[in-house]
Parts: sequence; structure tokens; C-alpha cells
Amino acid sequence: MLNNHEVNLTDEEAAAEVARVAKTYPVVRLLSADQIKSEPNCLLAGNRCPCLRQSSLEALADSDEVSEQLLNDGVEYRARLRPLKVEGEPHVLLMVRPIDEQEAAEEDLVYTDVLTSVRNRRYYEEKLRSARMNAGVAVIDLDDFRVFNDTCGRHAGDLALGAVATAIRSGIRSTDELVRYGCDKFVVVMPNIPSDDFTRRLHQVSDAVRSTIVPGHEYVSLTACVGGLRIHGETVDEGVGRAVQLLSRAKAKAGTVVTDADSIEAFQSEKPLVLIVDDSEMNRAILNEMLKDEYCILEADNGRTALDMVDRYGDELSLVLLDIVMPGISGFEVLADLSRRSGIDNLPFIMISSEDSDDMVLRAYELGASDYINRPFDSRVVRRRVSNTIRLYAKQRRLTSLLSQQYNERVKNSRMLIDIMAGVMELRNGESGRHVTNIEKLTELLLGCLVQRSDTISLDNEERSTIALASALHDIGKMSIDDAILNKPGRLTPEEFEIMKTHTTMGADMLLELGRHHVGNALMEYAYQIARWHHERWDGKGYPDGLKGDEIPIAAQVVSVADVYDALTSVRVYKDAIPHKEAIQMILDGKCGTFNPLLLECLLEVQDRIAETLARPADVVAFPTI
Amino acid sequence: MISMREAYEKIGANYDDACARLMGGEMLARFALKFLDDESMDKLEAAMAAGDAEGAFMAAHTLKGVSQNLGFDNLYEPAVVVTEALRGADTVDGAREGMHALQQQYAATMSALREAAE
Repeated sequence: MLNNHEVNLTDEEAAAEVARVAKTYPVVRLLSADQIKSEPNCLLAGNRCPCLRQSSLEALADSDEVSEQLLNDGVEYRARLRPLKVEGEPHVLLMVRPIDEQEAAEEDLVYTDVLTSVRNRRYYEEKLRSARMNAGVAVIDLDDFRVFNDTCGRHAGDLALGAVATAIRSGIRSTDELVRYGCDKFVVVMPNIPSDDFTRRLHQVSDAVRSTIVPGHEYVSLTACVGGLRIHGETVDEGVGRAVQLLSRAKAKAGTVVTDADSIEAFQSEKPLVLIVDDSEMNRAILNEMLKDEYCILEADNGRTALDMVDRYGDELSLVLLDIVMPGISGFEVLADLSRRSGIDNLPFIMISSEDSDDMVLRAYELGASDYINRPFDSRVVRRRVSNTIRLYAKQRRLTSLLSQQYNERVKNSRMLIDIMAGVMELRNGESGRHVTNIEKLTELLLGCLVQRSDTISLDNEERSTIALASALHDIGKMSIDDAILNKPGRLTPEEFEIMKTHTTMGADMLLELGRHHVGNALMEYAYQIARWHHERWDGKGYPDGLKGDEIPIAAQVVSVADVYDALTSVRVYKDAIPHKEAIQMILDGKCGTFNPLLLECLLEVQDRIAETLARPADVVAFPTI
Repeated sequence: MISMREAYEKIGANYDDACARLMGGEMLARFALKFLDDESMDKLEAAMAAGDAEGAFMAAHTLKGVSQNLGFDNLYEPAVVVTEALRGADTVDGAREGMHALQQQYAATMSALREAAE
């Protein structure tokens, strides 16, 4: 690239440079200093335009490129005047092109959203907002995007937005405008689109978003709600305002499309289902009238029918309005019945009653009602409470499912890593491939029995799974034991045995060192306890620290029993496998050291289940209840 | 023929409040006229006659709720008296006294509604 007139070109080179810039500039001239000074007319447009001569002289004098904007015949031009030397003589290279062509490229950048490459809000404000047209206008809003962002991370959020923008693009015409309107809101403007095509395309957009895959988060399904309508000569902004209103209706259910044209028909099937339970037909009719525009209504005139309907419609129901005082089964009894069946968690109940004593209200809440509406009914209050409650529960349902997907994915990943590590250790230790898995299963089995038998030990499902998982690392210290000792076929000498025993402290140290960034992590804590103390014994005769009784953490106690059982029943370089019954008897007899008597009771209790448990493939880890 | 507002005013019920709650006059009129077919008073009288305290309580309770929803304050108040007299009661005797006032107001309400319905 030639920058200033210090560059000295030959005639040929100058001609080549002229040819090169001519590809981008419609007007190119190479002028010598003499020409600039002597040529009588304007360099570009003769007499009409006197400007460039002065600029060219400036460029010559300053040895610097000069840029100039000029108007000719109503067209704006950008002129660049670059000084250079040809065969030692000062020249100016004049390059001119219409401005809109060049500026369009720059404008594109200013009006493009960096993340999604669609138009940005600035474009909307400056170019679209006040435009009057006949067009379909739609607002597209991602469902629970903030939750996605918070749980999967900002980077995933950015990826998701890009993927969604692409999905939306795929559903609309290439001439339609797509704007990223807010964080997770997009606006689409489709000029001159027929009503049916508009609706069809919005559904296409919704479907496309639904099948969007965010790289690295394949298990998450995104959805977007769409509110759209056609404007006829109003401004785009007025259209967007009304589309937002339609959107708020769509938001009752993730992934819904609502348009003005087909709202009555298309929205009907999307309406949330609400069950009204009241023995008075009049009261049901009043509530029905208040809610029927926004919801599909089911009615029941007694508690029994209500229970049947809840059973029949299950998850399809979005909300139940429940009267308290009814002949037969009362509203309270309906609630109590359902809470026993644990079917109430995802289904909100709003109590409706003229019983406004505090006792009644409190009792309703205690039984799991989400809200309480007093008579006399006020349509404004009823509608608001119903819609708020439905939205809240819908959000919660989606959140729970998102979190559980997330959680299971994470568990699966850490499981996989631990399995790989355990596999590597087994290879090195020359153990049968199942030792680590067996210990994990036995640990979980024993723990389950232990918490039932003990009044003092309370470990919930999740803690027990964590301990079982941590047990996989119990022999990690063997990594640092010499092969010759580790896999020695015969008996170890006392010296060798002393070295062998260090696998407990070495393992614990490794975990401490490797896990120093995970201080306070339950898995790490348990893994440490287990690695260090799984050879301790109840009577204090174990190693490395000679801990006694309950000085030994319970996780290590349980793993020590599991470890001994599996070692006895497996083939090792120094021994054959001992049958199940005999192994149990040996442990009970104290042949492998003494254990917590309570744990021995547990071993006895579960002994018949051991074979079956070990034969089963690894359990899928259950998602802890929130 | 009288207007629904006149009917409400005639019996001492709160028209404006009910109107605001129940989505305007047109809807209110529809519900109010529906009250002509409401069976809770018949059920209450039948249960009282049969000495069925629980049935009477249910019917009185329903009547109370409906009249409250429709803004028939005149009817709601005696309905409360009868409902409370029957709550948890073994016999209907405690409610007999309140029944007179309730029946009076019921008759007045029905006749005003019939006038409005013509």
C-alpha cells in the first residue's frame, strides 16, 4: 500500500496503482504538481467545482493524504487526495466515489448488533421506529433467558442469542427487518405481508427457535413467545407497543405465538386450563365469565368431581379455584387428599370463600393453597391473582426442569471423570476391573441401611451419593507405591508393608494438594476422610493414625467394611476369591479387624442383597428434591 | 319494568360496587337475573322443614356467598345470621328466628328482580 509521496514510483508502477484503485473508485486521476497548479478547470467537474485544487495543493504541501466530501449534481462524493512521487516528480493521486456506497458499509457496522449480527436497537430508533407502513410487526421474547444465562453462564447465553437470531432469520423473508430490540427480545418487521403468511411465518420462527441447539448445551431446549399483528399505515413503534401487549398474553405459556388476526382461534388451544370448583352454579358462572376470555374453563360442583378431574387432566391443568364449604367433600378435604398424593406441588390452588376467619385462611395455606380470594368476587382482583399465580407456577416448572437437566449433566460429567480415574488406578493396582464400582455400590447400600438403623447419623440421599462417589478415590494413594510392592505376588515383608500402609496418608495428601482449590467441597472432604482412614479399625488397631470408635469418620468406616468385603471376594495376585458367605463370616468374626458393631448389623441385614446390587449396572444419580 | 339500578336501590343493595366488581352493568344484570333461578333458598327452606341442620347450613352458606357476590347486601346480612346460627348445630331451631328476616328480604329481592326482568 502506498501512503505518502515519499514513495517514489516509476511510470509503470504509477499506472498499475491507478488501475488498482480504479477498482474501488469510479473516478481516479493521477495529477502532477504542475497540472494541479496550471489546469484551468476544476479537476473533477470543470468550472462548477473549484474545491479540489486547494485540497490537492494542501496534500502536496503536507505530504499527507487529504480527504474531502463534496456534492455534485445532488450526489455526495468522498474524495481522497494522496500525495506521491512518480519518477521523482511530486504528484497527487485523486480518488473519488459516491458517498452512499462507501458509507453504506460503515452504516452497516453502526447498525449491526455485535452478538447476533442482526440490526441493533440504534437502527430501530433511527430508521424503523417512526416509519409508517403496511407490515406485520412482531416481538419475539425468549422464555427464561435470564435463568439460562445464570445457570449456563454468559458465554452460553451469547451463543444462544446468536443461534436464536439465526433461527428467527430462517423463518422470515430475506427482505424482512430483524432487530435485536432488548437483551433477549427481537423485533421483526415484514412489509406488505398477507395475514395468513404472517401468522405462518411467526409459527415457523417459534418452531425454529424450539429446535435451536446451543453448542455445548444440547440438552437445553430454548423457546420463545411471539406477539404479532399487522399495521396499516401506523408507525412501527405503535405496532411494537401493541405486539408487546399480545406478547404478555402469550407469556402465560412458554413457546406460544399470539397474533391479532388468528388470536381467537389459535390462542384457544393455547389457553391455560382452569378448574373452578364451587357448589353454587351462580358462583361458578360468575367466575367463568370473569376468566373465560383468557382461560379454558372446567367446572366441578363438588369435591369428588374435582378430585376426579385433577386426576384426569393432571399436568394439563394450570390452576384450580376451590370453594371451601361444599356438601360432601369440602375444599379442605380436597386439598388434604391431594397433598397426600403429592400431586399438589406443581398445581396451584386458589381458595375462594366467604369464610374469612383467620383460622380458615391459615388452614388453607397450611394445606398447600397458594392464595386465598374472599367473596365478594372482584373481577379485577380475580383475574390478576389467577394470572400471577399461573405465571409463577409455569415459570417454576420450567426452572425446575432446566435445573435438573443441568444438574444431571454435571453429575454425569464428574462421574465420568471419576470413573476414568478409578479405571486408571485399577489398571495400576492390578485389581479386577470392578473393585471401585463394587465399593461404591456397597458403600451406598450400607449407608442406606445405616441411616435407618441409627438415630444419630443423618445423611440425606445426596450426601450418601456423594460419599459413595468419593469412595472411588479410596486407594488413590497407591499411585505413589512402587509397582514391585503393589503387585508383589507373595507376602509383603514388614518393611514393604510399612511402605504399603503409606498409601493412606499419601492419598490423603494428594487429595489435599490437588483439591486445594475445592476447600469445603463435600466430595473432596469425604474423599480425604476415606483415603486417609479406610484402614482404621474400631478398636484403634488400624492405620495410619490408630483412630478408635467414632473418632473414625463414618464415611471411612463404611468404606472400610465395603473394601474388606470386596477384597475378600475378589481374586488378587496373592489370593483366590473367597465365597460370599464365608467372607461375611470372616468379617463378623473379626478376621479383618474389628468394625463398628452397628455397621456389622447393617452388613448382616443387607447381605442377601449384595450379590444383586453388585450385578446391577451403575445407578443413575437421582436429582435431589428442591 | 324498572332498571337494574332501580331494582338494587329499591331493596337497599349496592349497585355501584357490584357493577365495578362484576365487569359492568350489562354483566351484572345478567347475573342478577340468573338469581331468579337460584335454588339455594328453596333448599334452605326444605332443609329447615326437614330439620336437616347440615343441609340447611350448606344452603344458607351458598345463599350467603351468592348474595354477597351479587351485592345484595340486604340479603347477605340476614343470610349471615342464619348461616352462623346453623354452623356446627345439631338442630335447626336456632335459625328459625333469623329465617323470618331472610325470607322477607328474599321476597323483596325476588320481586324487584322480577320487575327488572319484565
